[in-house]
Amino acid sequence: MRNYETIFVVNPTLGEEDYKEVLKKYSAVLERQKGILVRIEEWGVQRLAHAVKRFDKGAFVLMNYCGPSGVSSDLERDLKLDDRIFRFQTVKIAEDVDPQELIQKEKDKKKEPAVAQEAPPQPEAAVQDQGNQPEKEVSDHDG
Amino acid sequence: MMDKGRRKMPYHRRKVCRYCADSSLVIDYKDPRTLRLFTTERGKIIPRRISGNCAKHQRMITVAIKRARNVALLPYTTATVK
Repeated sequence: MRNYETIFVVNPTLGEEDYKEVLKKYSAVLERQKGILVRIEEWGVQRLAHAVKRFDKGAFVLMNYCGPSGVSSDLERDLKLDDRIFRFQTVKIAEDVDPQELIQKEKDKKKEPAVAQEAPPQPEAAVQDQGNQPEKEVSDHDG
Repeated sequence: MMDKGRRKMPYHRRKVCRYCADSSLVIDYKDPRTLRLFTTERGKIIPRRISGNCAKHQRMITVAIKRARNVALLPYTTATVK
C-alpha cells in the first residue's frame, strides 16, 4: 500500500455544519475507495500567502491516508468539482507501507507529548519560584 | 590593478549544507516558516551558491517551496499582496 497526503483549502465563509459535512464527505469518499485514513489535521482558518479565487483566507485540512495506487483519483475528482474547495494537492509520501503500523505510530505520537507535558513542569516551576522574582522587579524599573 | 602579481581574493567561507550537517532536520512543504529562510523578500528561491545547500537538498527545498506556493502557504511574489 502507498501512503498519500492530500491538503485542501476550504472556503472560510462556510458555517460550521457545512465545514463538518465537507470533512465527513471526503472521509467517506476515501473509505469507498478502500483507502485507510491515518490521520486528519484541521489547521483552521489561516491567511493565504496569495489570493486564491479572491479569498485571502482559507481553512486548511490535511488528510494522510494509505491505499493502493489510484485511491486519490476519486477524491481528487470530487475535490475538483466541489466549489467549497478552492485548492488541493496530493503528495505521495511512501510506497509499500503498512497502514496499521502508521496508525499505531500516530497513537504513540499523541501519547508522547502528553507524557512530556506532565513530567517537566515540576522542576521548572521550582526554579521559577526561587530565582525569577527579583529579576522581574528590575525589568519593571527599566520599562 | 596595483599589485599585478597577487590576485585579489574575495573573502568567502564555504558554507555547509545545514541539512547535511544535521540529519534530524526535515524538509517539508507544510512548514513555510523554515522554507521562508530560502526565499528572498520578494519570494524568489535563493540560489544554492548563496544559501550554501548541497545539490540534493537544494532540489528538495525547491520542490517543497513550489508545493507550498501551490497551496498558498508561500507567495509566488509579493507584488500581488501589496
